[in-house]
Amino acid sequence: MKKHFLYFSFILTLLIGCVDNSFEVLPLDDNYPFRLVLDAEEGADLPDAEDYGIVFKLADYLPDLDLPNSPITVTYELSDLEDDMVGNVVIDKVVYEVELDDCVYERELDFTASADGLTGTITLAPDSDLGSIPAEWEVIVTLPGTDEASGSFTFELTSLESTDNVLLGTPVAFEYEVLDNELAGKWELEISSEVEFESFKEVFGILNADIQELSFDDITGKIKAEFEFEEMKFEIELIETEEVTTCEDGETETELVNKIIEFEAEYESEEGEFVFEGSREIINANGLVEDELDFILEGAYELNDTQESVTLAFVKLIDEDNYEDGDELFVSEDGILFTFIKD
Amino acid sequence: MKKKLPNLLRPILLLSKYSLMGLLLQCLLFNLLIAKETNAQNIYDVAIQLSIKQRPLKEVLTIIETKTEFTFTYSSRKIDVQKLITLTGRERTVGEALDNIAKQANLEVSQQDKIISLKTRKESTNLKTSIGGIKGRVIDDQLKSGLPGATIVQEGTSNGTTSDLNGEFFLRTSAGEINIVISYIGFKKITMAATVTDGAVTEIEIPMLNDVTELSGVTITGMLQGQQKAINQQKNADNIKNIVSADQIGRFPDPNVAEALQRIPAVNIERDQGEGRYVLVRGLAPQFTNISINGEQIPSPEADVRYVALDAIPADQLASIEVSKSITPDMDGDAIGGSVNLITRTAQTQEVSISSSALVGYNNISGKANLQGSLEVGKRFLQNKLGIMLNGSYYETERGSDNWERDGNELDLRDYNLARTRLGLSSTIDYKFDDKSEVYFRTIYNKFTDREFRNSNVFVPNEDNSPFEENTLERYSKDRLEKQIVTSYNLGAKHNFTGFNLDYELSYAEAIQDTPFDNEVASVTEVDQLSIDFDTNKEFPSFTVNDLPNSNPNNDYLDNTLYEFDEVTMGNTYAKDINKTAKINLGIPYSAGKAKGLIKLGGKIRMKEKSYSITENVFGYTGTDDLTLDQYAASSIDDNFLEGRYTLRPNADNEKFVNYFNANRQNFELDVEGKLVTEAVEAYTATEDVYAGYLMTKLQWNKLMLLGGVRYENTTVKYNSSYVINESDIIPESGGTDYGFLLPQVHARYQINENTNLRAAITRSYARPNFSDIVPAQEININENEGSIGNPELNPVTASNIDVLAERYFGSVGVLSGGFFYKKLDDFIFSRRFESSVYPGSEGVPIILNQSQNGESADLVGFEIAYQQNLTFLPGALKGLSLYTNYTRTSSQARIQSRENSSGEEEIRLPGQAKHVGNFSLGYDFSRFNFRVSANFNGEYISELGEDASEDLYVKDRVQLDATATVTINPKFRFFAEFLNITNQPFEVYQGAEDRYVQREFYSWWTRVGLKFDF
Repeated sequence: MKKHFLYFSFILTLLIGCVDNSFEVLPLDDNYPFRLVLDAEEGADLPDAEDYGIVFKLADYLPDLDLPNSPITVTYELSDLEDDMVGNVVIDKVVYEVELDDCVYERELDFTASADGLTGTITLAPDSDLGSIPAEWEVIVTLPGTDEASGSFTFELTSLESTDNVLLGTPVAFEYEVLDNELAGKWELEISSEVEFESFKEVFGILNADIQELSFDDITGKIKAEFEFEEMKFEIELIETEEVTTCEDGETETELVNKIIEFEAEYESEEGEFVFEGSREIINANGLVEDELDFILEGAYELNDTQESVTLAFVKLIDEDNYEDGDELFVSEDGILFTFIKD
Repeated sequence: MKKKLPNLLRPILLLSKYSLMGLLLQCLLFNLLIAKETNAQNIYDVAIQLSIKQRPLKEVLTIIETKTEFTFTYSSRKIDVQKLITLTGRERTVGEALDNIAKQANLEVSQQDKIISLKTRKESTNLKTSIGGIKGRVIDDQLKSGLPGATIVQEGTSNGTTSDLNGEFFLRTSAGEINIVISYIGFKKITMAATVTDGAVTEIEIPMLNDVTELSGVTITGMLQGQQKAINQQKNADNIKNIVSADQIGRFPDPNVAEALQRIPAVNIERDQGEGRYVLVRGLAPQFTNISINGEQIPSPEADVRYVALDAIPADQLASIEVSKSITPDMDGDAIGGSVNLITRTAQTQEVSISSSALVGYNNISGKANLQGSLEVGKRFLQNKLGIMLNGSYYETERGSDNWERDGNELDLRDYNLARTRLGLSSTIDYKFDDKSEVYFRTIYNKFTDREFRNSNVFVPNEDNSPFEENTLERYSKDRLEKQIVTSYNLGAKHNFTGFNLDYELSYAEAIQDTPFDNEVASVTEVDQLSIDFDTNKEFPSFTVNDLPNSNPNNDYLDNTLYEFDEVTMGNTYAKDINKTAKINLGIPYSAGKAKGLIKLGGKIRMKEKSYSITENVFGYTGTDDLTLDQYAASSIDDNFLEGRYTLRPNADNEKFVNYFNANRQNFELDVEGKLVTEAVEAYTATEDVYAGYLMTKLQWNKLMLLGGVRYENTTVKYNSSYVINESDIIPESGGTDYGFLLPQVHARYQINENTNLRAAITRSYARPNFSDIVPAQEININENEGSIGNPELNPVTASNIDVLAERYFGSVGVLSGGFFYKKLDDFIFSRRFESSVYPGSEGVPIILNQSQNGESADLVGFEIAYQQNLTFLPGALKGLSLYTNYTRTSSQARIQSRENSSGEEEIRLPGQAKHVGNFSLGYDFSRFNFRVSANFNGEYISELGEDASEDLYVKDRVQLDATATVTINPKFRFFAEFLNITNQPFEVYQGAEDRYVQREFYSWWTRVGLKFDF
């Protein structure tokens, strides 16, 4: 009896020792596949644009992983073509850039297309200089290229074949439309007085420390504005110049250009009102960026009859720390007005 | 104090230097002599008249015992108990009768009080002062188990010793015929004769008779014996210590070691999910207490700290637990609060002994059963030479908690469900070559698994109506498995030679914390309106969402279709800590006048390797299809959360979500930068080599024991870690530090009378910093003007300790003790915030750094009082009552840099220090029934220092009430039932003000019933 009890107990103990409470399903979180994805899900350009580049890339990957060095084949499809896009949109070329000795070379990838150009394959072959497939490449599609063009289309990668650990990720469907908001395009502001520039700084000096440090004597007076798909940019041209050397496809070019200070933000515009949203850097006493705060800049716009100029009125500027009534970074009931001329 | 001593030679040189100090100390102690007198009764004054013809000696002695108050002791192996005796009836007294018996049986008779020893008469007595030894074992004559802590004294001298955990002892004596007196609280004192031969060891067994058997209606049980064992060991200890024997642990419903320790005076515990986990001794945080198994430190399975989570170790695996509150030079010096030693079991007899238990229970909050079983098998083989003891235990419980927490203005409703297992396996193999030498091999393996499911419902109001923020409702579902495995192997030997004793040991201990998965799914939604009311009902806050109160079943926070997937965190961690230790101790007995002394010296090397690695993957969702909580929610949820005060909806089912994740891997984007930063900042490897040596002496006069000596410990630390600068640049870093401490210790014990001791100790000790504080893993965000850095230059905390204790032991198995203690801590460690331009990656720009630094000093003072007794002196049925009570009061002042004015100083209470700690336990024994109600009180203490005093977090005081009932069916079977946390005491944390709760966690009650049986 004693013996049997002993044997039974020991076996039971051993069995119990195996109880481990393990997870029933193991997540596939440790094989870190490369994910082939779009850089942006949607985009737009002006009606007269003749082509458009859709950027694909391998999503963020661990630095100690080697990029795939075997060819990858992806299939694509152009769909949902509307209006002027029908019959005008096909792949023109597939390109990527390689930087060698500070010179950028644009190289093309092979692709095949069906007779109507709406489907086909793209082969991501390893680049001999890179030793792998490129981490990023651009599909250039043709557009109608007329001032009155309208419509939209979708470009999608539909499958992927690879012997490496690569997945077709998301997003892989890109939606294009013609940019049709009233502010879209390039504009130019000519600042001709110190008072006008100080007014400009009253708003944008808060948002950009470089602008805050400028004086009227530092600038040429030319400020370019560009409103693209959901993003806008101001370029403040300085009197100070610099030599800029560029090298593309083996050809080096050096030119003397005016220095530029850029201000960028996301924007929305509708029915005469606009909102810029972005983040502003908080610089500490040591001149270092201490923090970044989101801001909202509200205003109104008015196009002239010929739509050759637009007047922007900046009304209110708030950020994460200064948004309650009376705490605004800037507020003007009538707004500070600037008139931009179509570029 | 800090010294650069890079190798082993310096400690040895220092040891030599300080050995002189030890000898001087010893000379000082020679002068303190206290005489002892004994009273003897005269057997010739006690009348008796016997007429016996040819009856065996044994029967004759029994007859005398029944007719008188005398008791005989003798070795039945050494005298012929069957020898036929005749008494004529002419003998008028016991003395005359014994003279006649001695003549017939060739015996010598000696007496001590009412005990009469018989031994074989020798033709000649060896009177030369040569040395021999007695090796023996003191056992309970009824239960046949060894009695630890028995006092064995050579009659008429101060030469004595105490029995070890197995009841065994070794006493060096002069050769010849001697009497030894053996005393043990709760047992009759006896005197035995022994013949000691020059250079040889005499073996004897000493059966002791329990006093309590004389009390009608009281059954000797393992519990009572356990209490006796603990009290006797405590009484005879050289230092101030408390001992809990395995049997005594059984008096309380404590499944793990931490909970067993909470019953000891001046010990409180930190709990996790209602179960005790960390131990705080004398009001000092867990890192100030040293945890050992069989006298050797065990490494910590956790990455950041040194202390050990004691919920990983089942209480029923141990023979006893010792808590030393003052350390001696032969103990590790890094123990300011105290030193906890867990002792495993050893085989005792040649009979196979099997002890086992089986329990089942119920946890009210989880509605699930729990079970526990244990098995212990021991036997000695080869004429007692080889002993094998195997022990296994297993505990499994499904428990949980209902909890709300506050962080600023955010409210978090947390529902925990846990599945925990606790497996303990241990073995002891010992071999006694002869009566002088033995070897042993001890192993212990503990595996604790903790599967945690946490459903969290977070309400984040946009308090200021900021246009940049939203009112958000967040749901988190966590599924994590944590395994803690502590393994220890000790191989050692002990030699008791007549001129000296020697022991040495090699040990390997390994602690692992393996978290193979730790997954959390986060879902989020935004609502137009959200407000939380923490004030109207401070104990249970209320809230409204989109203007509907939380009690409304149509409230939007309950709609799973509104919650979108936010992110999933998947990861694992692995922490490993290895100790490789070698140590040797040499004891040399000597005489100094009437005092018996022992010089002891030894050395120790401990090599530690500690490492931590982490994988943390955070994935966002990039898929084009909507992914909302209702698609991956579980099917059920706690429908009585906080007793129905809040309604919850099923949260993410992690298994269901992982299936979705695996099938749609392409739609999940890894946060690569976050992964690299987290893994670099937290991972590290470190080594720590400790070289220690000591010299001490102990002197025992009749009533006074003095023990003094010094210990030197040198520590060398090396580490590899990484800096992360601006969340992008990862720079590997390696380095090290070393320090040494000289630790003088003096202890005194004065025996006012046989049952009353006065103790005092002045000791020096220290506590090493946690690895997370010294390893310079750092995160510097220069742009944000802030960083946190480790401090490899951090000094250990040092302490000078004074302890005074008086203790009075009762024959009916009890003790009343009281004393005070004072500790002065230097280099107290606290988290400091300061401006500096010296940090990794610095270009001279000052930034605000957070770093653990040494502060000023801290003082801790307190007193403790303990009383436990079986109230057998009470009349009638009341004599079945027993009390177990203790109370400790402490106060502390630590001086740190002011948190409000960086140039000033601030006085705070030491984190972890509770002002009041105590136990009250009332038991009642009636025949075979035992019933006990126990209350454990933990006073409030600071758990975390805030940026200022108003942000300090306090754990509120807590009283837990438990009850146990035991029925001793027969000596082999006991039935018992336990009922824990009867009053559903919550774990509560408040911030600054007592009514500003930031956490209230409820566990409800749980219970167990079972059988314990001994074959």
